[in-house]
Amino acid sequence: MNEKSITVIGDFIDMKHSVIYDFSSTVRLRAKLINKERLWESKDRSAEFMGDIWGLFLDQEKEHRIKTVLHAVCVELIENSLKYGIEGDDYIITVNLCLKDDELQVYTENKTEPSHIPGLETAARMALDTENIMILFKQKMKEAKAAKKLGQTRSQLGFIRIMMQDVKLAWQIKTGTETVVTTLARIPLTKKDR
Amino acid sequence: MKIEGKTYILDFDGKTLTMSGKISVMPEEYRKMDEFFEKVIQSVSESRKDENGTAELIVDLRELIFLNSSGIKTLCVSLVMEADEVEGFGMKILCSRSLDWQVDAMPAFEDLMDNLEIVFE
Repeated sequence: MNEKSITVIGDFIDMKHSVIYDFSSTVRLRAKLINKERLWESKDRSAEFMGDIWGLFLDQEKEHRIKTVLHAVCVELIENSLKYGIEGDDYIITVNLCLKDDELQVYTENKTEPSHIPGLETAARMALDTENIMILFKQKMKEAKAAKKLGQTRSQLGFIRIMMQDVKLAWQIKTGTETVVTTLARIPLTKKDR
Repeated sequence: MKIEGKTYILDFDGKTLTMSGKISVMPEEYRKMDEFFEKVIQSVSESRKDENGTAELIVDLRELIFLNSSGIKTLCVSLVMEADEVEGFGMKILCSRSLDWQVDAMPAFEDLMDNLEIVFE
């Protein structure tokens, strides 16, 4: 049975190729061809590069924020793609960046194993449902400490870390003959006053 | 005592643990940091107990430009929360206001250790 289904978590906006964005760019890694250590290193460089280049498109006031936040967001999203991507396949990771009005939209897409989906859905919904991201951070740290005592490693901190920077997250999960996850990070160019 | 990666250095001089550079490494490398933090806590506990039976570690992050979520977890769980379990252990973390990741993340460490002071410069 190859019936396709689409699950959306959060305020996901489809990336419309017909829309004229103020700017857009794509980074596509065919990760299968790259040595794992190099791949991990390239993830940092790619994220940093995107932060630097996109910072140049913006006025000075927004440049610093975008350089640092975009770098941090891309590191977490590419890292997740590397961890949960399908290594046996081409292991392709695509990052699309689109600037529209006063928001930078980062789409990270990768294929994954269906067995990863329930964990992803739980972590995503928990991150979106929380009223206070700092409290969720502390809760996750306590869970990580308890897990460490049992000899396990877990944190699921990536999404929380992204949201701590006033960035909104949403997901689209397509299942069928293959499972494709697209994570959308929406970065406002102007940071909210706290 | 020191560990060094391609992009970072963790250096402990017996009193201050200085972390510098950029840390966003492969998951396996965080295990080395776990072990390093364990030795730092042990060393401070054993050698710096003053007459009141207290020990203090200074953690200097002011030159740590970037730390990803796995690194934040390691710092929080393996250093701060582990130290919290040692009786009489205090910690002062020096941070920089010019580094956004520290401004966003470090206040979340408060409440995770009783005797913790986070200082922004």
